[in-house]
Amino acid sequence: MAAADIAAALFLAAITILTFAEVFMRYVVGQGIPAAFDIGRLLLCVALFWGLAGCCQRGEHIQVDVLWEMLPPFWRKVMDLFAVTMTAVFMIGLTWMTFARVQSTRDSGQVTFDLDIPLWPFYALAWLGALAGTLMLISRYAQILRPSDPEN
Amino acid sequence: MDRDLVAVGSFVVLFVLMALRVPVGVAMGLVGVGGFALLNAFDPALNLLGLVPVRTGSDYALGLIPMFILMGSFATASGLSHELFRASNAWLGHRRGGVAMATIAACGGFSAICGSSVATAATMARVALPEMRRFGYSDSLASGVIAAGGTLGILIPPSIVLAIYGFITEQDIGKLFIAGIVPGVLAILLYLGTVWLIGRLDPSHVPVGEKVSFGERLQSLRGIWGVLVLFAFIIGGIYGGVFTPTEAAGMGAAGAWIIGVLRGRLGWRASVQCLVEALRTSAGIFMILLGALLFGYFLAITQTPTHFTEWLLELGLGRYGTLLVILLAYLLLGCVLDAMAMIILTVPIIFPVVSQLGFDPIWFGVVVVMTVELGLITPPVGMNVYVINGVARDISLPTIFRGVMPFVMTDIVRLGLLILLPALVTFLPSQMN
Repeated sequence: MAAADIAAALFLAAITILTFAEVFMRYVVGQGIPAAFDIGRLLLCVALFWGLAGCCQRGEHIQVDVLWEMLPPFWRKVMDLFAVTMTAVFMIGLTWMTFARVQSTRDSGQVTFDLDIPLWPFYALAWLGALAGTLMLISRYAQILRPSDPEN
Repeated sequence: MDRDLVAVGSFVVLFVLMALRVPVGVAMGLVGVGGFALLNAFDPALNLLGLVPVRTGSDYALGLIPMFILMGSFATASGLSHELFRASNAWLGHRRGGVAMATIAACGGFSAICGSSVATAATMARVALPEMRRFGYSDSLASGVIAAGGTLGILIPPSIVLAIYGFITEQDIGKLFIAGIVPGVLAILLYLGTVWLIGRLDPSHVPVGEKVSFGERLQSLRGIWGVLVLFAFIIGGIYGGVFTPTEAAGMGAAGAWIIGVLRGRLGWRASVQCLVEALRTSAGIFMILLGALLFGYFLAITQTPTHFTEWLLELGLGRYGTLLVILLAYLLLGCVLDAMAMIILTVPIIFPVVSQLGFDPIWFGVVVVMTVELGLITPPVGMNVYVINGVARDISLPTIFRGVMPFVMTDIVRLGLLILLPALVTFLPSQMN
């Protein structure tokens, strides 16, 4: 398992525990956890962005394979390189603009509703996930260009 | 610039990019941002890339997707699929076609905890296929039963595809889940009936299994009662308005983990593995959802959904004629596109038409998901069929497709029933708190 995967997994664990604890506290203790809603959704954003990094690293995306499966190995590689390049263009744009969002959120001083927790550190963590995903696409080029195993 | 021309061109580029294996979400995102820049300006188009991903990623309602997937992962890692099959087989196995019936019942039970059809088919292929072959079932029937049983995952709550439909169309996801119950149960009953009928028509291909004592039957329930109680708890909680679907997902995931740990089936390493798997799947869905939302902004300024609605209504096919055309288009699209991609790509365009025609949005969600589900078991894509072929390499694709055909017929009958009797879908959600 890659570090990006484990980091994302821990965020998902935190969201699940927080959601469970919030409902439990609300019905058993009679009082929910303050800001559980905001923290949960912000952690979700971080987890999903880091999950994207993992998808980029392994090339695990929902794709249409009908044409690809009909092609010989050389043209499959050409198609894969094209697909990774398009993914890189998208991820570079996303990373760049998410960084701009982090800056604007920090400059405007946006905070959560309940506890005035600043939003920008969560967005910055999410941005790091997007950045990791963009960088990991480089390793995808290496994987595609590596000579194929003749047995596969 | 002619907006209609740009809209048509964008769909051509989108399908070319998807055919060239560009990830569906990336293709939609690039065409969406590119088209928006072409019709509006470059800076606002780029701003969408700063706004949409963060806003979507931090939408609380979306949290139910990774957590429901996590619940399924924990249950799978705890060996639930084996336990479900064992229990179903104990109760049904002694009948003619009993092991096949047990497989369908186990698929239904597994679907109640796992919202993915492909995962249901893959898991049950490993558990039930060897058993059916041991009893002498023909390969086509054995694999066909699992491919069809796997589709139950897309409809029986919690269904990830129904949740995505709710997210896109801003419908109550809890109501959509509850609406899937009756069609899901109906599917199980009709599949069981199909196996029974095949057994009557051709008994040589449908053997009788072993009979077990009543005590053993009761004992077989020990392994599954915890998860069944958990399912009843979360779906009951949603139905009764005790918690939101996202909270239900959190309760379900935590509950499935606790059950797995108490039964000694889940350790630290397995738990982390489940978390990683759940997030991988969720991130794939997130990517495609991002693309669809970006594409949706572009479609909005081209007014494509409005123009498409006007065009379709002007054909004068009437309510049900138009619905039939839409469902046939979904069946055709299912030949090349993944179920999730199909829903995300098309629903924003189709939904205004359906609303204009006065169909209930919850009912349409269930009907469209059922239609998309057919694409999972029909050629040439038939994802579930490929998954089973991946598990049992010696069973050819044509053999599996042949085996699944009676169940495709059953599905078409069920679809017809739900169109004729919409209350089968809408009654339960209408009673919710």
